[in-house]
Amino acid sequence: MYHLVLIISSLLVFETLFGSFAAAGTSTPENQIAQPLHVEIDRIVDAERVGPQASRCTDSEFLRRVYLDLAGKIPTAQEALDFLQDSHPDKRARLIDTLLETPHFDRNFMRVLDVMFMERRIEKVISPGKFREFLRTAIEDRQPLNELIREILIADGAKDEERSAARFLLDRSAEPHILTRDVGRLFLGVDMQCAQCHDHPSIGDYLQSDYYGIYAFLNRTYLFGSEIGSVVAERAEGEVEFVSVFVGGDPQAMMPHLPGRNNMTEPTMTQEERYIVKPAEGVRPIPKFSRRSLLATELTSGKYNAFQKNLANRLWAHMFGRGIVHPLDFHHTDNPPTNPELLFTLAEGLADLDFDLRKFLREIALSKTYQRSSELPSQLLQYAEKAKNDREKVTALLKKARDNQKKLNKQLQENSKSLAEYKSQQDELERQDSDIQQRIDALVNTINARQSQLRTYQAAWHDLEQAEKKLNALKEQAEELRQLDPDDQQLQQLAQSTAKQYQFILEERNVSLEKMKEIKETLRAQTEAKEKFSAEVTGLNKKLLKVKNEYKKIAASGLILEHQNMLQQNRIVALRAKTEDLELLDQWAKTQKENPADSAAQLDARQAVANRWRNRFQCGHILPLTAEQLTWSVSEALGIVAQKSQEIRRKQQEKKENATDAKKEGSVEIKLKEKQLIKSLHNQVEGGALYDFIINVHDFRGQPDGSYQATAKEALFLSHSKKLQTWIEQAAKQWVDESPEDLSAESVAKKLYLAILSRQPDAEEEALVRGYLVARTEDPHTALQDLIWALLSCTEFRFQS
Amino acid sequence: MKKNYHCGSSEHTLARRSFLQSTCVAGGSMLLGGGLSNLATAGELAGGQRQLLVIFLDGGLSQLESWDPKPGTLEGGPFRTIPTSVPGTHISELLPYTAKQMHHLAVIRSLETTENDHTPAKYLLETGRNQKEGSDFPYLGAAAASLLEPTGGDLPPYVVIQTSSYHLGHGGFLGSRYAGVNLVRGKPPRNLTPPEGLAVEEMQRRSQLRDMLDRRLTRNRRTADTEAYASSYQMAQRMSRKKDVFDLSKESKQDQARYGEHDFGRHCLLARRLLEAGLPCIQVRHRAYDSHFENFNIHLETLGEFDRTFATLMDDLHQRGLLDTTLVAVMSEMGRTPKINNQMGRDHWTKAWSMVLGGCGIQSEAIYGKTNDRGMEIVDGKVNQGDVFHTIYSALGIDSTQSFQIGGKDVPIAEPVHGPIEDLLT
Repeated sequence: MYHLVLIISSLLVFETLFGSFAAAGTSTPENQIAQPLHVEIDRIVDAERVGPQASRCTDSEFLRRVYLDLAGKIPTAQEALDFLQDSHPDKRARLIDTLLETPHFDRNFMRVLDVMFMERRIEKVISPGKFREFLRTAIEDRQPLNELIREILIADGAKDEERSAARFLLDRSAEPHILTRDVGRLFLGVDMQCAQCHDHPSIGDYLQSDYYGIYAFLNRTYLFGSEIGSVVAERAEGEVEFVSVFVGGDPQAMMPHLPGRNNMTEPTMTQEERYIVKPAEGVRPIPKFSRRSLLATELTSGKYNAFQKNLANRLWAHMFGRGIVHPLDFHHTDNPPTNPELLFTLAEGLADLDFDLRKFLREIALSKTYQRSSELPSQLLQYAEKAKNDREKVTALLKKARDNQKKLNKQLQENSKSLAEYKSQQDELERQDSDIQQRIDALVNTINARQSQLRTYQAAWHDLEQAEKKLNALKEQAEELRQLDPDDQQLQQLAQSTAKQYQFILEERNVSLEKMKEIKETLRAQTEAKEKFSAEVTGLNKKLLKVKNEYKKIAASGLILEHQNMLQQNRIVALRAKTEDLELLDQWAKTQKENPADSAAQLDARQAVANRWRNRFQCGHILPLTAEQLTWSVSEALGIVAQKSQEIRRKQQEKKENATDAKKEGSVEIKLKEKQLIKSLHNQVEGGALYDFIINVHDFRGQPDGSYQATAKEALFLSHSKKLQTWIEQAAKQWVDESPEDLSAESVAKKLYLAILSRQPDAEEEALVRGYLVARTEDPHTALQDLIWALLSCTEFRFQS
Repeated sequence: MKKNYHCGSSEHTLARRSFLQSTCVAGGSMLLGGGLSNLATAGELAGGQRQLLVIFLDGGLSQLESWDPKPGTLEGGPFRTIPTSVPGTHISELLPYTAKQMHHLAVIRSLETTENDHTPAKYLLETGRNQKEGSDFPYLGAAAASLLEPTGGDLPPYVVIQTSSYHLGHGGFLGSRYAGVNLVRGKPPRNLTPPEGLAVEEMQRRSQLRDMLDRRLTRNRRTADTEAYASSYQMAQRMSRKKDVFDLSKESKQDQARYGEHDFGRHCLLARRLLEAGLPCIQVRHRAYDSHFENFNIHLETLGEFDRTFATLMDDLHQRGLLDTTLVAVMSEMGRTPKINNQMGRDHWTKAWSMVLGGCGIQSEAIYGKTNDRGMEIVDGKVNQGDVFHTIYSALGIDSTQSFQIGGKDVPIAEPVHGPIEDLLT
């Protein structure tokens, strides 16, 4: 009984954790009419709202944001101008669609997915560049993300065309523990490292059995061959056992399974059948049944919700700078998603959109939530002054919800209590049943014995009757003979002995007859008893069935209760969050009132609210650019991209003109060539500067991206790098060359702001630029350089808002 | 992928007060990037600024030719022992100058570690942890810097001085904030001064212009990150202004001669200069101890270079009162086999080797632990790198039983199964 409850409850823990509850959608009746995902996102986020939300961001904010997120760079000055001047009401949606189709999207997500899967690991076996090319092709070809992940988990690097994809496994040395941890972190959002040696001490969901469940998919995988030329191999045997270092005890055997799922089975095969290629000295074995492939398929089937959730959360975090579960690999009961329904809906949405990267990002980008300003709504402070009332209301609701939950918990307790009762009834009935069954079995045994005894008597009966008849005849003959000669002694004796024998056989016959009668009697009695028992069993079985049905019913209502409990739990999480929102607002209002002179305290209070609003997706985020975004944005702003592009095209043109046999190219060739050109442009831009940016902005290559940290190293790099200074000089020169006659402050300001900050300057900014130019009329070139540098290094450029 | 919000990033700079509170305390459970909030005051608790100087002897110093000689034994080698400034303590005759400074130092002669190959062994001795895939521990200097860094410092919290351009001093999970700035061949940090053609005054004008223009976002959308970014330019400027701190030519010719006309001499003089300037954590590396061949010649040569310079440094630090607040550790990734191989070399050895500590918090003159006659086994006081790291942190006034809070996860500062070697602490 205990085990069953345990199984059910642990199942439910996982359902809550990973939320794949079939009925969860029922909480939202609107769901019946399927809404586009972006509408759903807004509906769910809006429901979490407390007071006014941040307004819609400006066009220029949206422009820069969506460019950085989708294309990985800022727009060119011309692109910015075009968008800002466009008056079409649908221009945002159109821009999203345009960006999703640019080669920059492919390049950007090649980098984003590379960092996501490889976390800037250095090269061990496969070059990172090759892996990125593989990713770029997958993105260009619109390969669904689940298929892409399946591919990198299966690719063993044996075939040339799969070699790049195998970097995921090969550069992790195909080591089962490394792979187990990273499959957990990167594809399920759970870091179960501690669970390698014991259940996680503080996180109830991270079980050693789950760690080893994943590990058992991978334990037969290993690195084959020397480092550089190595490939991934897999054996067809090898089982997993583990012991907790906390609990000790006997090793537990573990079959492959995904957390919260049943153990997988594998086909039974004889030793002979197990391999396509048998292991031998220097030979890479290929098993018929691959546990790793099974993992890849099970994980990415679209039916395992935790996979979708993690992926949706990671893509969301790309767009917002923060996951709904955060940190991204730390999903567990005590670190729940800030908005469980949102995560659930996104996960479902991702699967419904067939894991199409573009379609999914499009929905996010279209949402009002994505397009929210990063500035706190101006009316918020006003609202804060009244927040106390709302807080009381929410507190009352929370109390009610908690009471409801208490009731639910009580019902759940009763439910499990009656489950236990029924279970014990069932056990008792089953015990009785088996008791009687045993007795019936015993009876059947004796009946069988008696029947065979009876058969023996019956078999002997015929002989006895024959013998009796014969002896009777003999006896009569002997009697007749004796009467013929009564004095003959011999005849006398014969008659006597014959009579005696007859008598003997007659008695024998009678005894046998008696015996048979007796056996038949017993048999009848025993058969009757058996029938009685059988009838009892039928009765018992009926009772048992009833009890079992009852048990099922209660168990089913228990599941419903659990589900209600989960919804209630979500509601409490939501209400509690709102209470905290309101508390912060209230504190802000209080600070405003009580310490109007303490500007630091007010800033603190405001800051706390802003952080809160951002992490609840009620206000846009302010995010530092990654090294990749920064490299491309600086290169774009300073005209490096344009310059390199021109160079490449000029060279291409020269080549064409110089070619003697100028044959006509088909459209396919032209397309291919265009792709090639774009690729080489991308490589040239990145080759020129990306490494410098990575080592100066992040810690080192080969480190996963941690949190953003501003360092003097980066500031020194942006201030004093020879390369940047040269670029700035070039850019200033080019701008002057382009329009030497027009160095008016107004046009300079406009040009600078469009190229660097992707927006028009306001009057104040124009005045500042004018002022600086006027102050330095003796050296306008240097002044222009100073202005470029100042805008490149300002917070607005370094961050995305 | 964008990076998450991290409130540890600015706490030591301008916005410390306001943002520490709002993001770590008031933000509560919504913000898991808790940074080092609970440790922010560790440096203050240390009572006066303490500093760390690690001298890392790359490749594996022979304990037999240095701190734990076994002359006259089968594998003791050709060198004798000499008495030191501490009565009863003898070290190898290859270290005559250091011998006179032994009253500032304590020796651990009973170190046993587990990694026998350079890369994992270096990871072990640089971070105090075994290298596990996926785990990302900071170097000792980075970890200590995050705990010792003074508020509003003008200098990088951690530098690595070495001849190689191979980047060392990883910040690990502490990130680039505390990663070691590499001073290759004693040269100043990269980009410290404006490039040729860009005058210092021009740069100042640029900075002023930047401050004027940098308004839109910072007016009412400031976050801890944007504040930290703004202050990073100020720190960069301050650092740039302090460029002389990194300029060895400012040291007297006499001192340059005393430290020796070689890289290690210059590096140690630079270390002294940086310690004086208040830089919290410094690592100086000395190369080429991996003596699989010609162990004795190699040690004769490398220790010849090391000895005089190191002794000069110790004496100077003492004379200038810096030893009262500076912990000095002389360490390697491993020791060398007592057995001499057939090329007169000694191979990798982790079973019984030595290390030296000195300065603040350390019981000078102490000899901890003992190896047997031939140096094959530890007979007393066996310790490992975990104990050493706890000891170093304790000597620096850091409670090594505390944890870093990294992205919502607790990571103990030092291996919790070990503890400080009390006999070595004052």
